[in-house]
Amino acid sequence: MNNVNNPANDRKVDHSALRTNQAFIIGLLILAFILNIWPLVAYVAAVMLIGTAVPSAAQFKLVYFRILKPRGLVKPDVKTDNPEPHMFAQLVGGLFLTASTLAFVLRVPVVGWGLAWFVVALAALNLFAGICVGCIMYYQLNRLGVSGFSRAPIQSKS
Amino acid sequence: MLDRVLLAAVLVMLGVIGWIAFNRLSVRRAAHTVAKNPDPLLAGLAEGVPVVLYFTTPTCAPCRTLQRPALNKLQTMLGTDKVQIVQVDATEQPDAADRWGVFSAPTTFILDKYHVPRQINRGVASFETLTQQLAQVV
Repeated sequence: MNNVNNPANDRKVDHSALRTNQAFIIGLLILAFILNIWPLVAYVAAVMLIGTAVPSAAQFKLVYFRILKPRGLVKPDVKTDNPEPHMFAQLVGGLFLTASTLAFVLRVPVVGWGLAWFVVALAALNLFAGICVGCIMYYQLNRLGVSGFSRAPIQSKS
Repeated sequence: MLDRVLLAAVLVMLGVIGWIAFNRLSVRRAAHTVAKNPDPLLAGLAEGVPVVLYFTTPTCAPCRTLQRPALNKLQTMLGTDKVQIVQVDATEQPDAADRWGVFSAPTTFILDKYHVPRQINRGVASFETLTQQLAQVV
């Protein structure tokens, strides 16, 4: 098993930023469905993929950091955690939405909306039940020693 | 557009109902498993006292910062004659986690005084939630 870990104290993730991200994803995808605007799905896919490649450019999280947090509308929830699994989860969601967009372009809207709702379900599972399916996948791949999944879970006393 | 709003509402409700049904199924499956063979996790527990079976992992931060304190408060407030708390490290006992259908931490099961699983909480369960659930199984 790969186990590249900086000291745990260096690894911090603001879970309020993650939840804001998930809320935007869910809200915009449901709005896209109601208004039947598939380009909005493509936009959410682009935000997720760009946010994975360039974390500082993650638009929905920027709303949290620049508007919600400074104004005290959402309190920070910083935890010792690895950011990589959450990035991977976002990448998986972005890829599903990319496939969804492709389905719309190919004029198969049932598949497009099906994939979009699947991402809504995954994001809702994360937001409301605290179950990050992408994170679970990441750590499983880490345990299997797959290259590129170098972060092992941070041990904590429970 | 109204039809799509309704459809969206139906899909969301189906998702919520599906989640509730999945959790109920998990509890039934756990109850069935326990009924067939006494579970070693429950060995040595006092009879007639409800149990909170708590699955955790060493990497679970919410377990440490939220769930454990809630369970500690529960034990302090109710005492050992009203509730027994069994903590299970799912990484050390993966077979137990499989038997109980646990795939994330924290997960807590509420068992009644006959040690039959009656409720499941996937994710952090607050002190208030646990108290309410225990009141229902007494």
